[in-house]
Amino acid sequence: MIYYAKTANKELKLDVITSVEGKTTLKLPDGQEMVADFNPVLGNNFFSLLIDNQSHEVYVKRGENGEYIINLNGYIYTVEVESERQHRFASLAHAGRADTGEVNVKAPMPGLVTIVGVQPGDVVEQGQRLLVLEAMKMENELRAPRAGKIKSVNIQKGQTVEQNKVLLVIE
Amino acid sequence: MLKKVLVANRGEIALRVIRACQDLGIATVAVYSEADRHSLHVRYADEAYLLGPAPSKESYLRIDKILEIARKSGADAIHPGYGFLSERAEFAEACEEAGIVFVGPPASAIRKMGDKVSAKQVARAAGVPLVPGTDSEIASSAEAQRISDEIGYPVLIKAVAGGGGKGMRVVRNPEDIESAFDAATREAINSFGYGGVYIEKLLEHVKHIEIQILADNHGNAIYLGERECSMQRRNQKMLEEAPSMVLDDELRHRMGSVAVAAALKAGYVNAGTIEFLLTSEHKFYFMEMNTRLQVEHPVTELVTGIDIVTEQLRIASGLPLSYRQEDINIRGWAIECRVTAEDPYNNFLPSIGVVARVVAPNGIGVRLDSAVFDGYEISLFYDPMIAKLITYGKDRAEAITRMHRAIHEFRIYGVRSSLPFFQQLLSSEPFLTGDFYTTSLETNPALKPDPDLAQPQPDMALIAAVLAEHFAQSSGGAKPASSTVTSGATEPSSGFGEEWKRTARRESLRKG
Repeated sequence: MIYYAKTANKELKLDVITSVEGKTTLKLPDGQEMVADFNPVLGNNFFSLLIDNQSHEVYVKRGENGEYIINLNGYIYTVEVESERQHRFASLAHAGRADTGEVNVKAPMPGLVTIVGVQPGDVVEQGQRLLVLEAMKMENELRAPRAGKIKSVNIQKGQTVEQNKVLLVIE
Repeated sequence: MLKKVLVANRGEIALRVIRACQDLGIATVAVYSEADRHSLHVRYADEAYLLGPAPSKESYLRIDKILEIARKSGADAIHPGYGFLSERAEFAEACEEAGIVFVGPPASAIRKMGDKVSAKQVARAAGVPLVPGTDSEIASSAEAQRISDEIGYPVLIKAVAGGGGKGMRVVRNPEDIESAFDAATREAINSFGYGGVYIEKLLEHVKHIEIQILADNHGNAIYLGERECSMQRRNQKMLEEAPSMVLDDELRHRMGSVAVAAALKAGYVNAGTIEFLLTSEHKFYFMEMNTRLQVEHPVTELVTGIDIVTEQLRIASGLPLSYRQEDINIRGWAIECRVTAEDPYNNFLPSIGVVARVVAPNGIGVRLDSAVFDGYEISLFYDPMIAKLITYGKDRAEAITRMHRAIHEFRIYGVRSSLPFFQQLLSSEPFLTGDFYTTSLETNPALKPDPDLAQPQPDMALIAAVLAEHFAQSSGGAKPASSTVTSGATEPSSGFGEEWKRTARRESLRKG
């Protein structure tokens, strides 16, 4: 079966062939072949992986949008995997989508908003302090990812926010 | 000897105290918040009592409830651990009044040494050198401005009641003093309930060296050598070691002797730590005293062979110290990494969620002090530190090598942790040569988390993800658990049931 996998800066097309005996062979686009033993240690998300007898440990978690969050040998990667068919649809859908140029400033963690330093209409510099989020008793300053105008502020001082909540929008 | 000890804390330090009690045959009482019902300290103690809701103010900081539980359970002593109530004089006092032994210094000594301003006065009287600054708390940002102009920038604004980097701000330019004063005051009120701050000159290119002391009720006091704690981020220690590369026997003896003198001067009893700033010319200045057990006490335990918590309990029982100064020998080297649930590659933002699975490192020279288990929830309410990984070796190089190995074995699945960053830190030139200071972690480019090291095997990760997808599809749509992990729901790997399932899975793979 052919799969397409990509991280933020890498892409890979991979053909996975499982033989009748259960042996799995991986085929890269350049014709190179590897033997994989992807072996569940416990449950269906914790694996010992032998690739041409090189040993790795893999823990698999699914993100909110179906992406794979792979812990490989203690390091974490986010990988999107598509089947051949999904890959074709996705590339069609991507053409035609316009970039609005807006930036959503999201809460990087749940916390308490202790200071809101801007209001709609304000023009901000890149790196300017926008608000302060308190979590685990530490104040965390959120700064503008780029220069722009504050389009909207969706929170107020004293409010508790969930992770990934859009706090304000810069246009 | 004490009969039953209530441990007024949570997490790894509660376990540390429970273990020491068990070693001495002392019964243990745990207290817990609603968020900690499943925690190991509840499960390992002999008895456990609910304190209240998750926020510390409603649980681990409730002096009245803790004393009530102590009385109800018949505990004859309370060990406060570190953080929470450990440095609150009124807590020690309330214990004294209730006739319960506080495993720590007397309230009077906490008051003297815990208040940073009066601590300076004690230190000065004991002949310990002091950093230029105010002896009393400052009333306004205008006063802060005036004093800073006098002693010269950069300056450090610190909470009188502070600790752990909270309520602390560095000011380099006069125009920033007002906002820094306000921020420090605000943070101090939020963290300690008291907003008083003081100011001192910030010494640069200095090391944070601290001396562990032990004192008993019979007038004996000794020092257990030093700890090097300069690797700090936002004034939170990240990595500690014992001994320090920069101390020789003569300097160790001088610093140790003044630390003991200061402790005796304050009427100090039990375990305590005096923190110093050490310049490259081997000049040292008193910074503060921590009137409690320190997070990083294990490195001292490993190089001295002394169980500090056991000693604390013996001292609290009224026994004299088990050691004399001449019994103390520093042997080998120990390093501690504070593993936090924070993402080093995203500005150390807390990573909140469930630890789906944890695989602890072990082997020669490895000690893990941790309260994390499969299903442990990392919440907003408490400190992000989830484990202390400590290694020991005959020398520094061996301790470092073993730390690399232990981190490689240590797996924490489900949340992000600072573990990967420690590999970089331990291999960095500043760390290896000893050329690091209290500000290095934040200012030296070689110690900044390097995103290129965050993902060393991207190709293999792509392959692993494809195999995971292929596995999920071939095993009849049994998809890997999504972000809401059902931890603890899987059976252990050994046993007939699991083997049967594996065979079934292999069978189903063949069909694909």
